[in-house]
Amino acid sequence: MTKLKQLLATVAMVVVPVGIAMPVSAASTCAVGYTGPDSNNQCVSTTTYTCTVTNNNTVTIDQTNQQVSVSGNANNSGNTNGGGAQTGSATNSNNETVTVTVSNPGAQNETCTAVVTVPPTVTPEPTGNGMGAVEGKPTVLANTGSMNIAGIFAGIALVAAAAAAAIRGYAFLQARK
Amino acid sequence: MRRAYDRIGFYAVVLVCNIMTWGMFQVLDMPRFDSVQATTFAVSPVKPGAPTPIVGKPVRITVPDVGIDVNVADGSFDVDSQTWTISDGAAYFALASVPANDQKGTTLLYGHARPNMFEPLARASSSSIAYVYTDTAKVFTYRFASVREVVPTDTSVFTETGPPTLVMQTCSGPWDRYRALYSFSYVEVKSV
Repeated sequence: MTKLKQLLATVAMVVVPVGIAMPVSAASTCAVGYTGPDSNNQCVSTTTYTCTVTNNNTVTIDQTNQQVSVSGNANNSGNTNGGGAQTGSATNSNNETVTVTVSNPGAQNETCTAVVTVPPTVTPEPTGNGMGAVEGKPTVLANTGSMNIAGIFAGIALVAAAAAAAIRGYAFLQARK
Repeated sequence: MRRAYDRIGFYAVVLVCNIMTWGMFQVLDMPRFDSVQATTFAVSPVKPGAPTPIVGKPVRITVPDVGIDVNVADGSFDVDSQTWTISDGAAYFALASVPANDQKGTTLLYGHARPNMFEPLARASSSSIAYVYTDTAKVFTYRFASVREVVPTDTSVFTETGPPTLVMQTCSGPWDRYRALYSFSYVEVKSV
């Protein structure tokens, strides 16, 4: 019986702290029944703590950030000596942070937090379109020439040949005189 | 001895001819268009707050009264070689410009100065109408407004703001030194 007490004490010393440390401890009771002579009572407490949290959270952020940059009108009226009035340039930029928190009740209060930060985008340099044209900035216009270099040189050669023939003809006539 | 004189004379004539040819191009080295050929028309006002702009990428251009009817392909600018896509078989829509639309900006089409391409634009008049067919089954109508010559490095056409405009570009001047920009003002858009 003494052994039994020792065993129980040992078990208690081992199990109790573990049970306290567990976030969720199983309600383990150990009922010791007959404790008479030659009894062999063992209280074996097996606590299995399984915490499986499976989260399959799909977070879709559909973000549309429209920005319009318009320079205002300049008015200058009602002044005794009116100075110049001019409008300024208009630019804008956006910077937006979207925080999405997904709570999963019933799963040990596990919390999934997603933070999406949209970096600022400066309004692009106006290109006169705003229609979505995408292209490298051209530095020259297209060479749409139709000049036929070969034809030009052929013409020059023809003129030269005609001139040479004329000279030879002239020389021939001079020789006959 | 006389053969030597003949040979010298031959080379002299060739030289003179070459000089005259060169001089001819120098004399003609002036812009073809001294001033705007047509008066500026009242263009359709920009529609502020128009909910949905009608937009389309040009696939065909016709200017019936000067006999232009050519397909339009995409023309891109190669930053490395500083050249544009171009061939004899089609006109090109400069992708760096805006597509045809009823809101704003300049749509640039370019093509060779050849009879079957944009050379007939030299005959454009105030009654010339251009029709731009797009890949969105729309046909945009423009009326000829003006023409100007610029140097090849003048790319201001890409930053023009204002009402929707069609610009047809081809080469002009001696040795194709200039770029002639024929501007057409937007009139209307219809479904094909």
